[in-house]
Amino acid sequence: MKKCSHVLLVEDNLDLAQLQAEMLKMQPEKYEIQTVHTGEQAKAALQKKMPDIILLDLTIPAPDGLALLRWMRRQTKEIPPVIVTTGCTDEMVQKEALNLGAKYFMIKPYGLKDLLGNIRMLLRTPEEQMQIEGMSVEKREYLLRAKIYLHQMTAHMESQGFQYALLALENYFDMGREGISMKALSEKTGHPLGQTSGNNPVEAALYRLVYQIWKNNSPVYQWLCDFCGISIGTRMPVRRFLTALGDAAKQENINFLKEVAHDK
Amino acid sequence: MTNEKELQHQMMMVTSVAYEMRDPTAVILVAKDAIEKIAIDHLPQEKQKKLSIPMRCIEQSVDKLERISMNLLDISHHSFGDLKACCEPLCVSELCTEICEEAQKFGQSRRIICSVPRQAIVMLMDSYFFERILLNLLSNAMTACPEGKISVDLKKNKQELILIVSDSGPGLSQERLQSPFAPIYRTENSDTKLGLYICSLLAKQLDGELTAENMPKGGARFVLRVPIKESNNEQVFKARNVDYEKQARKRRIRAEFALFEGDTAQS
Repeated sequence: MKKCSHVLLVEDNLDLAQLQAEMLKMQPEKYEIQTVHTGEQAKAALQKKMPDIILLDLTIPAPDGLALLRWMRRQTKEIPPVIVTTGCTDEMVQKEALNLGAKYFMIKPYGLKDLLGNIRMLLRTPEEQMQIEGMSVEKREYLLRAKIYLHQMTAHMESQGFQYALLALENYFDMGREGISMKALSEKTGHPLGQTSGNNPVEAALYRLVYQIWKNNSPVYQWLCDFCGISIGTRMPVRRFLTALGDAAKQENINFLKEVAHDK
Repeated sequence: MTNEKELQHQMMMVTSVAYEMRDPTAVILVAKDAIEKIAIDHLPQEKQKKLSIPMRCIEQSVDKLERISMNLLDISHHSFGDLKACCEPLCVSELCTEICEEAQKFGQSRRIICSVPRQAIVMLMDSYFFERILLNLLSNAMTACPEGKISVDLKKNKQELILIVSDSGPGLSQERLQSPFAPIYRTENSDTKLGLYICSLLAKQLDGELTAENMPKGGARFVLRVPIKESNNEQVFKARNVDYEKQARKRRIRAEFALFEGDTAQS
């Protein structure tokens, strides 16, 4: 039988705290809810018992949410998953919260469904996650690394192009070197990749990858130039570069996505 | 100096109010979800249908409050000098298509036609700025044009990116044409309108130009021109968080277009 998950709810808005606590109690999963309204109360609760998950409002009476996260980091290396809830949309605040170990950032007002979904996702064990996704822990970790890499490399991550680049990496994992040819990728995505005319989301994603590699002065850029058999030194890549890349890839099954994925 | 301080004080108050508004709206939204889950879901279908109208009104009002909060935050960030463009390589054509597709979902009987070149447009651009300008221009066109055609054209030449949003509505009044981007504050005859004013602020920050005109055959047309920037080594790249950006964009789109859902489209 599944154990009861201990949720620490840190929220200074009493109505919101009560509503969320009541709704969590009504869920089929067993949640034991502890509600606190200030940073000091949260500290005391954490010293008594470490919860399985924390819902943390950032604007609570001192110490505020960020200060509490910093305090937790000093206390222990492994903090439980934290979902930060806030009305603040400042990217710096969000970045700091994530750097301090928060797993998820939810901007108020949010629906109950989103909140419950995130709690469930963060409380899943790796085995449960594997059952849901139908993939091995190894593959999940590989894709996670690939995602992080692509997030750093591509300009518009939630785009279709990003999904295609990720798909290319997944193909590589599943099928090895043969799986990553431009032809296979073209067939899978339905976009003729590497042709001189036209453009498509796959090319857009690849172009952004190449651009970022150039921008970051990565040694992979020189490798790509060698791969395409062209010599443009450190000059900015132009679209022709991508065409050359496509042409080179037609000749040989490329593994450059894998190469760049391991570059970081 | 005193005036300056007073203005700063007022703007700080605006920022604070804009953020504070989100707490009660969060309570309203969670409470609405709770009512649905505890009571409405167990009612006969006929009653559920009747209650869906007030429930939708609650949700739409929360979205409207969010829109007000977003606009106030943009304006206060601008007056503090914090509204600065942070350009990165962005597939602008893809973002444009995505926003138009989302807008169409709320568009009811309006037809939103988006045309982007076959060649993807990748350039240095602040995604938030571009998104907010397009959202506001679309929302403006949708308000002016409860049914009919709204066209979004995106193109690029060597010097600039050009975004044109045109509608088949009645066009801008002569009075509005004189200063199309001035904010409109609530009067007896009108609601507060800050969208176009914010667009002009954002366009300026991109070193771009936003113009408005009436078309000869009717309807209004807004044209944004943004110069293509060359990348330089001082360019700051943001470390991005996908989940956050997705969530934030989804919210902004919903807040901007929620008022068009149902039968509440205004002419």
